[in-house]
Amino acid sequence: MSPLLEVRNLTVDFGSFHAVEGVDLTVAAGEVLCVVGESGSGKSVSMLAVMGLLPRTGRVAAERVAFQGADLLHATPRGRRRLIGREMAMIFQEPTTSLNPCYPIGWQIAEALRAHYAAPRAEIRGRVVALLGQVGVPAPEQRVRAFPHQLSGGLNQRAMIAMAIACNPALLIADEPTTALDVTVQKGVLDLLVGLQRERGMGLVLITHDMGVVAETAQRVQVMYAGQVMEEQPAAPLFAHPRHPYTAALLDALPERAEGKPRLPTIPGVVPGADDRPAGCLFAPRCRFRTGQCDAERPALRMAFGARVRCHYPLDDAGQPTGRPA
Amino acid sequence: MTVLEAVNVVRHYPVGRKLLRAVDGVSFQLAAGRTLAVVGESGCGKSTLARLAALMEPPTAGKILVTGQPAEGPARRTLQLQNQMVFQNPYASLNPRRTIGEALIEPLTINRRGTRPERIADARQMLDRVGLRPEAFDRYPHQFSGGQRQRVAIARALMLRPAVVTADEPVSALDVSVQAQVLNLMRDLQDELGIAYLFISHDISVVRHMAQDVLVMYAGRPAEQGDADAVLNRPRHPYTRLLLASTPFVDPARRATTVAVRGEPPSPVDPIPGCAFTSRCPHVTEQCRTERPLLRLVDKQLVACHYAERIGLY
Repeated sequence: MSPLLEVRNLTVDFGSFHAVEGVDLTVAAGEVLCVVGESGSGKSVSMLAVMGLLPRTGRVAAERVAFQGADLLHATPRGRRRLIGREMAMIFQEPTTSLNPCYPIGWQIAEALRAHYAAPRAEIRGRVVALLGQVGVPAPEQRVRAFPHQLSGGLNQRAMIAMAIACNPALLIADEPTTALDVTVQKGVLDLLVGLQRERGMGLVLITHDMGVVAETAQRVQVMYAGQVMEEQPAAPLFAHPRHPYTAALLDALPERAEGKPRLPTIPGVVPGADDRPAGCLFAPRCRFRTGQCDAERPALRMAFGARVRCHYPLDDAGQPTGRPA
Repeated sequence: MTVLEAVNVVRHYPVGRKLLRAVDGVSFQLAAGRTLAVVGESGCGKSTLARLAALMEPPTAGKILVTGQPAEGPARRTLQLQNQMVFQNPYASLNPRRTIGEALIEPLTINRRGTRPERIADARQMLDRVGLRPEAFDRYPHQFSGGQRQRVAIARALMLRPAVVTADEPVSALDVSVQAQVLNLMRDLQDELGIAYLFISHDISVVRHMAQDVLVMYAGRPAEQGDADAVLNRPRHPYTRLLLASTPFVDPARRATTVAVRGEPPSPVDPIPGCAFTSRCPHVTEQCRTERPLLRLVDKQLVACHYAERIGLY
């Protein structure tokens, strides 16, 4: 069976800047994939490219982008529109800025239904009320008439989710869906997303920078850095035994993991910009295990210890690099 | 020595004909070299409390004491210098048209400290202390990353050698690896200079790492406050427990079993008679709806809940 979403060797350039470089990604039906990375790592851009939502200045190239086996890369805009919003949907970070302030939320949710189905108004209205109820909005009959400014951030995000799942999509891409929300509200929204995903057997791609969110929701995790996938493995082993030095360093820098230590371990240096991308491994300038080989040769993604790792010396269970010359 | 003290401070804002009770009776003491974290959700009044503590606006009622002196009348102006602020967003808190050097010198110029060469020397020394290179002096904010800008903001706050630095979500806008660098810097400066931090944050893990004392706010009032270890490891207020249970943790052992989060905080302009948390509390009784719980000592912390003794046992 072909995967729900298959992306091979995706590259996105803005001018001379490589925002995304050689990203492979597959999502199976009923799977939760988390894409995690710091700002500028290309995690949002790669998903926007898949959805065809990038501005024209972004040049997208790939070997293959396919949804349920059908090619998306060469799809006509019309063919793409038939899928987007219906079979694959996206939720954005800031609910209050992503919603249109001039229309009630009920109208905005109904828009997706009107675009994809020819149904009588009363039936669409009933569907919208049911959807709002399903995503946990209290008093949905009244709330369909509410404008975004009359609702809290949490309720607006629930309205966004209702909009995204209106047509029963097979794949849902959520870009930092809870970053703008308080933790108690975040918890409710995440539980809702995962609940819907299980109930409907959707594929869910969750883009986030929050390692705690990843640990609590993901089945599989992809770690991105400077536009490349650095590591990919199932969630539990990733947190127990990160195989890439970047993942390991990132986890060490979490205050949660440094209890009792006065200082947090840090990653020296900064993410490479457009002008100073190294020829070798992109993480090499900041890596504690860097060697001459790292500077000379960019590592490919390969299997090691059951994970996909882009490193010449993947870390063993003790966190030590394997095969590194002493 | 107590360098910052709040005595039952209240801050109300008129909204139409009603009053918005942003801060409604908060007291705390902060000693030199220590960190007090204020945690809570958006709208709970933590940023207003920070502005009151930094003497950026006067309280409607209650008192703020800085280095033991009440911040009232003419003394207010001089005491302001003892409590400086670091803001959340370093992209907005630095003037894009001024060099880093100018930003650092300005507080000294305004307060007529030293001669110009002395001010410049002082600013350069501060740059070095916060881990920025000397070249930074003549550069502009846009030439720096978020983490570096936050270092500049911290340096600027320290130029007048304050006893207290009030930091309102200083690392929330930063990536994890950069966040770690800035938190380390803040701790180093505290050890070196004995500064006290009033640290406003919504991130429990960051608070656990930085603070010795914690104040949990809900709807403008303290829900629970005291020793950080006691409050965060043995919380006795249902709201603190909800907050901890909602926080996503990497370590599975820390994760609470699923909690059903319901409801939202009450409106700050239409206060309800009893406990503000009744709309979301799983243990709510009739007493909670009618009688507002007072902050009282239970075990090692102050808790505003009628059933604090019982809740600690769950």
